[in-house]
Formats: sequence, structure tokens, C-alpha cells
Amino acid sequence: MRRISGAGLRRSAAVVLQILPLIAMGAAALVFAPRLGPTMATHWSGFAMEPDGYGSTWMSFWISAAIAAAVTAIAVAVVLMGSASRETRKMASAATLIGAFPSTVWIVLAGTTADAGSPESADLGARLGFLVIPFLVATVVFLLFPVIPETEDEVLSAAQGVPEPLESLAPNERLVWSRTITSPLLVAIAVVLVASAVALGVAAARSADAGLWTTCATLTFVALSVLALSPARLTIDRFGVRLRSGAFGIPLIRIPLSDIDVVSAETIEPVQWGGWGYRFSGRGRAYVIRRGSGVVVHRAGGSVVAVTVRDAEEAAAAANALRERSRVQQGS
Amino acid sequence: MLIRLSDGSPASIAEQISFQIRLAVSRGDVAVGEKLPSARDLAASLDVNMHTVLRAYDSLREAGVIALSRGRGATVVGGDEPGVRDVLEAVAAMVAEAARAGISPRELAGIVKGMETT
Repeated sequence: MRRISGAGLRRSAAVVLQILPLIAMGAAALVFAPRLGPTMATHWSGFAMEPDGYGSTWMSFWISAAIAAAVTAIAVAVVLMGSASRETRKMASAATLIGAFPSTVWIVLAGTTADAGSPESADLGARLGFLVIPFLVATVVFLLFPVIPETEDEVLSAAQGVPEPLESLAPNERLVWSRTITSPLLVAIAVVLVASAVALGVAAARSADAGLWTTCATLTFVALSVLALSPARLTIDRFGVRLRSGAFGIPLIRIPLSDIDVVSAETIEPVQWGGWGYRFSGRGRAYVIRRGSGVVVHRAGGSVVAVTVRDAEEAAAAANALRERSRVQQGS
Repeated sequence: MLIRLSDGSPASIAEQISFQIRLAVSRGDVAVGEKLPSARDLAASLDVNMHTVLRAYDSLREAGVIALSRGRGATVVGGDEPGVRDVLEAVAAMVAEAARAGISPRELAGIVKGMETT
């Protein structure tokens, strides 16, 4: 069922490239650390050899790393989950560029001070040329990103609409449809966020800057929110349709059988449902972790709830069969 | 993963659960590394006793399909060999075919048992 396609390989290669600047930044920090003091040169005016601006070495490291990690996470998300369109490709390479910049800048600045021996004697010189690297990375990501003309897109040709209820559901037959929904990417993002939060916590404990604690708390909250979304389990049974967080067990969606009008299997376009994650949009509530098949529950009140899941057709058919039978049994 | 329990089946409820999970794994509906619902949740969904589900999980563990661990629940560790998988598929197809021909699973089981002796 899961196959590795050429497009998948290209996306994976792009992701490896996207995270390289962050890894390089960590490596550079380790290499330069013995030669770096608490401050480093951060600004030069015109073609002056002498720097005229200085900043805290490790504070700038953590802030640059946090920004780079956050933007790179978004860029990776776009590459892995975005549709194979020209628009997504542009978005992916732009986000890659913005994500690669803070790490590259920090590596260049730290390297300049480290090689000079002291911040005051740091001479940027030709190192400025290294700033072309983010553009190169973004360009290669642009070239790697697979673009498929819409008509050939397999996902779009997925079955649409309301599937026939499962045949012959006997009056006393018991049925459950259950599936875990995992996004390796969301898990990876959560891990990066937790790591950044811990790093910021360490930095905050060492410095007097109260702002760092706020950032740390915010990052922790975001990390836990991402973890709550993946993995999750979609269950369709005599109680109705339920989506529950695997990590914390909290219910994300709960629709009683009697509240269901009909369930359809559709192709979920994240853009049309307000993006990825747990969304509220004009169209309705949605749990979206990728673009592709999903179930859309049309509730009795007219509202709509969507969940991206594989085998959506079977899930929808199971829900409709259960709903149909409960209607017959209730005589409504 | 779809589980349907029928009263007309000659198999016990635990056997039906374990066979259908096994089939779901062999079809790739449940991937290796994926978790199964907790026995408590599955029992509630199917309106059966939790020990019935635990019995089904236990037989799946013995068959090497899942691993059971305290706290982590049931995790799929391996599917059946391709040969066994083909048999499972064929049996599922045969049951459906028999149903269309008006042969109940119970009768079908009788037919299969009859073949054993020949």
C-alpha cells in the first residue's frame, strides 16, 4: 500500500537539504565554542574592517536556532504534505530560504569572531559570500520539489461522495471500524519543538532575561498541542464517530450516531479547510494532517466535520451502515 | 480496520476478532508498528466482554502478529507469511462467495471439515 515513488524520494531529499543548515549550525557551535567568548561581532558598517556592533554569543545562538527551527519545520511540512503544484513549490523554497538564513548568518558571525580570536579584531571580509548558501539551498529545494499536473494527480482521482453502506448489516451484528492516524512529520515537529523548549529553558535558567521563559512556555504549549494531534485514533462504532488523541487520550471529535446525517468519503484539500492541524473554518471543523482521502461527517444540524484518514471509503460505508440500522431500529 | 461480529458464525467471538485483525494486517489495513485499540475500547465498541477481546489478542500474540505490553497495549509486530496471507484472503473470498450462494458460514465450515477426512 505504501510505495516509495520518485516524487517521494525527491521530497525526502529536499527535506534532508532543508535541515542541513540547522545541523551545520549545531556542528559549528561545537567547533567554535572553545574559541568563542561571551560576545561576538555582529555588525560592520560599509567596508570597514572593524566591527561596530556586538552581541551575546549564546543568546544569539539560541534565538537564531529557535527561529531557524520553527521556520524550517514549516518549510519541511510544506515539502512533505503540500500538493505537487507550482504554488506549493514556491512556498516551499521561500520558507526554506527564510529558515536557512538565521543559521547561516550565525555560523558566519561566530566563525568570524572565532577565527579572529577576539570580537574586536573580527574581520568579516570574504565570508559575506557564504550568505549565498541559503539561496543555493532554496534553489535546490525548488528544483527537487516534484510538480505534477493536476489531472495526473492520483490523490485527486480518489473516490468521491457518499459510498454505499456496507451490505447486509444484520440487526444484531456488531461492527467497529478503527484506525490510527499518524503523521511522522507532526511527531518530528513536536520533537524539534520540545528540544527547542528545553534548550530555551536551559538558556533562560542561565540568563536574567524573563522574556526567554515566556518563549519557553509558549514553545512547550505549542509542542504539547502538536503532540495531542498525532497519533490519533478514529473509531466508528455503535456510539458514532470519535477521534481521540493517542498521546493524551483526550477526545478531539465526538459525534453521536443519532447526530449523523450522512458520511461521505472525499479528497480533503487542506487549503479548503483552513490548513493543516485541527481547524475551524467557514466550511466546518476539520482534522487535517495531509492532503488526500478523508471522511466528511454531515451532521443532522447541517454542520460538517472532516477527518483525513486512509480507507475513508470503508470508514464512511461503515458509519452509514450503522446510522441506517439505528434509524430503522428507532423507526425514525 | 473493520471488525464485524456475526451471531450466525460458527466461530466464537474471540476467533472472529482475531481472524479479522489478522486479515486486516495481511491486507496492510493495519501496518507493522501500528497500535491496535485497547482491549477495553474495542470491547466497548463491539459490546462484548473485555476478556473476550483479550483472548483474541492473546491468540494473535501467539501467532506472532502482535506484541502485548503493559501500558503500551497491543502493537502489530508482523504479518503472516505470504503463503498464509494468500490462504486468509482465499478464505475470506470463499466465505463471501458462499454467502452469495446461500451457504451459511456454519455450513461452509462443515464442508471444509468434511474435506479434511478425504
